[in-house]
Amino acid sequence: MRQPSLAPLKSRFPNKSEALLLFTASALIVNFWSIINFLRWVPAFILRLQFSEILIVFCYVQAFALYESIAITLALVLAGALLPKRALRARWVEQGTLFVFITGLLVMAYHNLPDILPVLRASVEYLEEAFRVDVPDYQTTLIIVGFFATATLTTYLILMRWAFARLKKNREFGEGVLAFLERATVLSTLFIVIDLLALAGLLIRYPYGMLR
Amino acid sequence: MNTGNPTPSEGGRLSRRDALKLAGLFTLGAAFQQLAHIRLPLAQATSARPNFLILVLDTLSARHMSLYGYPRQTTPSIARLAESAMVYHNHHAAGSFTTPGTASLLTGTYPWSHRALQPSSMAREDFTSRSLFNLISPEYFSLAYTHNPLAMYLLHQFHRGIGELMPFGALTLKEMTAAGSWLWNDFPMADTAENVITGIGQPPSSLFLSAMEPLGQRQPALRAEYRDLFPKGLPGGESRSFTLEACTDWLSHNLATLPSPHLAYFHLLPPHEPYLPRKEFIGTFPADLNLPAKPPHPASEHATDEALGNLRREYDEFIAYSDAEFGRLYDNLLRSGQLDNTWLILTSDHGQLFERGIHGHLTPAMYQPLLHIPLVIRPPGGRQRLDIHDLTSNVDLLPTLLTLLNEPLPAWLEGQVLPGFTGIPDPERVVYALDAKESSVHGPLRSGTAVMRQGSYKLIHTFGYKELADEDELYDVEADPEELDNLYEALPDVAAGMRAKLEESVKRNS
Repeated sequence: MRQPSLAPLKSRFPNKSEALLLFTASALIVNFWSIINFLRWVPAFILRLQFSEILIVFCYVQAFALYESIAITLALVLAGALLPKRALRARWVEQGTLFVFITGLLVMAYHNLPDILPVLRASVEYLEEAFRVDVPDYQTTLIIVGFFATATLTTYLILMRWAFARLKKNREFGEGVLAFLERATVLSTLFIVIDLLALAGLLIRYPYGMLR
Repeated sequence: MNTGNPTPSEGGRLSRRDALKLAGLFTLGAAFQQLAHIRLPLAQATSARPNFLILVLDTLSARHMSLYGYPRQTTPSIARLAESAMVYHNHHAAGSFTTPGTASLLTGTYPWSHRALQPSSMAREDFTSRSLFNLISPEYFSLAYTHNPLAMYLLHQFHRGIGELMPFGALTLKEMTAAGSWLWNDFPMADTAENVITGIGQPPSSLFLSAMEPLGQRQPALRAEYRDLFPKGLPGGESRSFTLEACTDWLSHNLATLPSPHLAYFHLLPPHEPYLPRKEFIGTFPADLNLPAKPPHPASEHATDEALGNLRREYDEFIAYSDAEFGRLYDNLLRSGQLDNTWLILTSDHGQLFERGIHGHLTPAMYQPLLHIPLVIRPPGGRQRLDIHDLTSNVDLLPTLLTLLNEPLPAWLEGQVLPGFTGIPDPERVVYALDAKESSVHGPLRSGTAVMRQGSYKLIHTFGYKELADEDELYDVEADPEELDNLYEALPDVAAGMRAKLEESVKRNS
């Protein structure tokens, strides 16, 4: 009698080196964004925190970045296992990397919405005045949000479609993505080391300086 | 600075200040008759070590309380408490938002000393052991709770003096933040990091997961459960929903079980915005108040009078809800006999502004609705009302409590023992308030708004802001309570004297 085997399931998952490469890609964009945005807070922190406290906050932020990188990688591993082989598994690392980076760009735009909205509002209001159209305030807001959502989603879908199609047709494009990833590994490794040190710092600190 | 009311004999000769105090003694005979009633329970209480219950209702402006003459009936229950308590009519917050206001209340010092200047900042490191909790006699068991994360930073800082610091979750329906739950032991640092990760006023440092945060914070089941009672939403918002009813019930049932003597400090968020009262309080105050129009402040947010009027009404409704729950607590405590040996102190950390194009309290515009806060103190077994109109500050509470307990007053305290406890009003009393949230806690105060109250005058000195010109305003608050007539040019002597004194205080403490 044939013994049950996990081989078919295993074959659906990427191998370790592929998963590590994708983790590198996730860690790169997640940590890059995390550090940039932590730095935005530093001027406010300098006003009220000691250097050691700023370091502790940085440790929390980077430990979370590590968790986020792992979570994104695991989500892609799971997607790779669940989706049909044609859809994602064929060039899993390249497709996963492009997915993480393009989605990352879209999310960056979403996070910067509060900065972008006033510019969009001013543009729409200028047009309303130029064409002498009297539009209620809530309609202006709807126009802006609608425009922003449509523009970013369309751009996102076009970019993804273009990138995936190019990956399918052009072997060099896929190799370029891999070459970029290999070069980025150095920076990613540095980020991951920082994240691990941050996590270790928190674990060492946790029993001290807290509530009884 | 020890301001513990030295007697004339201590100095060897009678100063002008002492002479004025003595004059006050002769003219305040009627007040002293009332004070006799206050002293009796105090004497009884000191023999049995009384308990203390300090209730801080966040962002409660005295200018919005019917107890202090507001035309809307917002505080009938607090008015009932006042019938057997000391009511301070001229009490002031030392800061304009939670952090400096609460730090002043708990340390008895002004913001320029404790340096808790920015939202989420803590007091200077050497103040870690200088709070009410740390200074009160060790035989007291102390318990502290707040819904307000900014106040929680301070309670964490003073935790070594607090017998039990209750986590948010103790009196909330659901605590959704990591800092407030499983990272509770490291709350100040974890909460600061959580603000960076989820992004408050800045893009979040978490690229992907923070985008899903609004989904994780939604609590549809909880909302549905309470929709009938709280149609506008639950107080505390999605991440830290609570009801005042639960707090009232908890206090009613658990205060009596605390070890005696005890000090219980409860800093409750209502009526802080968002204004989310229970159903029956929505639409309580439909009438317009016909308040005088005020010119926009240079720091105006351009809110229209109509919008401010609507917000004011919602705020008043939220006060009425808070007052009703306070009334229920007061009745429960009276019924259980808990107040026979408990000092009940009701106050706030700062007020709220609905004028000059501004709504809120994170503003450099330090007008009276922002600084005038309630203080009502009911002695154990209190029976009679005593109205006190002297100028007081929330830095006075700590020295007063220490005096009540015969504890020594540290030299660094900047508050005075409250009138009604010493019996000697100080006609030359000066109180201050400071907003310097753009200044560093480590260095000199480079920008801010400093306020000085002396007698009926109030000086507002705005300095060092990049986007605002340096400016001084002088008001006679008794004659012009709405602060419409700037007397800075008209009364140059008063203005110059107060300005010099205020500047000297700011410089000395920078």
